[in-house]
Amino acid sequence: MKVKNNIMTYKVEKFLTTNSTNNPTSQTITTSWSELTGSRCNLSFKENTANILYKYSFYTYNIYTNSNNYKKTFIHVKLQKSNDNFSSNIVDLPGCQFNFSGDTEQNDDFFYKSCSPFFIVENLDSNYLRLVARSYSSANDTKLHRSTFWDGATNADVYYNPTLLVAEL
Amino acid sequence: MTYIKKTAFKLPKFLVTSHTSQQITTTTINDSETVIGSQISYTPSIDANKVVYEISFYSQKANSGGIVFRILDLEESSDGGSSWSVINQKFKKNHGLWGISGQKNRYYMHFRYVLPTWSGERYLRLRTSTYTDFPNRSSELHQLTEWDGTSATDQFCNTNLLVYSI
Repeated sequence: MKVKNNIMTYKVEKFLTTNSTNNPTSQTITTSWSELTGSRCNLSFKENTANILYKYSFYTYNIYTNSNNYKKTFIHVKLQKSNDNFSSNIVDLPGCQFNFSGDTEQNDDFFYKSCSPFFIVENLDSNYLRLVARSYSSANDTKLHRSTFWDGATNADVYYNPTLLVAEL
Repeated sequence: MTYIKKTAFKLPKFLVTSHTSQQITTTTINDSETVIGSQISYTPSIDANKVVYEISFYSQKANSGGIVFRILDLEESSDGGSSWSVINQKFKKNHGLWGISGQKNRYYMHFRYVLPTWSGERYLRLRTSTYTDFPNRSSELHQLTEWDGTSATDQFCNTNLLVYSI
C-alpha cells in the first residue's frame, strides 16, 4: 500500500498458477469419466467470485489392438468445479466441454495429436477446477501423455508433459 | 482510494458466448461468415507492442456427410464494424481432413494470433469459408451431437474469446 498526497493506492495481485507434470505415466481414457493428469488446481482469489482463464494441453495417441488395428480415438472432455477438492461437491461447468476424435474408417490409421483446451469461466465461485474425460465407447478408448513412436523408432518412450495455466482475468 | 488489480495479462478483454443451436457454415465459395462469438472491439494498451487474439470453439463435420476443408480469416474494422478487411494473408488458416467421407472430423479449435498493435478502437472477427463450393463440405459449429457415450441434442461448447496487449 502506498500513501501519497493522502491518497491510498492498493495493488492487488490477481491469481495465476502454472503446472507441468514431468514424466507422466500413460493414462488410458475408457468409458468411465476420469481426471486428466495435472489438470486439477486450487484457486485463491480475493473476492467471492472471479473470471478465470483455464488453459491445459495434453497429447493423445490411439491404442494398438492387433494385426495393425487401432482403436479409433473419440473422447468427451469437460471442465468441472468443486468447493471441497472434488470430495463430494462436483459440478460440471455448462458449455466448458468438447468432443475430440480421430475416428476414421481405417482401422490402421495412426492418430497422434496434442489438444489445448482453452476455457474462460465467468464468475467462478469455487476454488477447485479439473478436466475429466471419457471415451464414447470401448472401441474409442485412447491413451495420453506418452508415445512409443519417436525419432524414427517404434519402441521409444517419450513424454508429452501435460501443462496447465490458470489465471484470473 | 484507488485499487489496482494486476493481472497476468495487460488490459484483457474477454467474451464468452454460450450456444443453444448449431451454426452450419456455408458451402458456397467466397461466401464467408462470422464464427458466432468471435467478434469483439478492442483498444490496445497505450504501451502495447502487440495484441493477442485468442479464441476457442468447437467444429465438426455436418451430418450431410462429405469432407471438411475450411478456411479461416481474421478480419478487422476501424469504423465500428461498417467495413471489414482481412488483417493479413499470413493469418489465414486452413483446417479439415481430406479423407473418407465417413470420418467425423471433430475439432476443438484453439487459435492464437499475435497482431501488430494499433491506436484507438478496432473490431476483430473470425470468418470461415469453404475451400471449394461442393455442396457437402460445410461444418457444424458449437453443438456436440454425441455426448456421454450416446447421441445428444442439447450439448454445446462455448465460444471463448480473449484479447489482450503485450
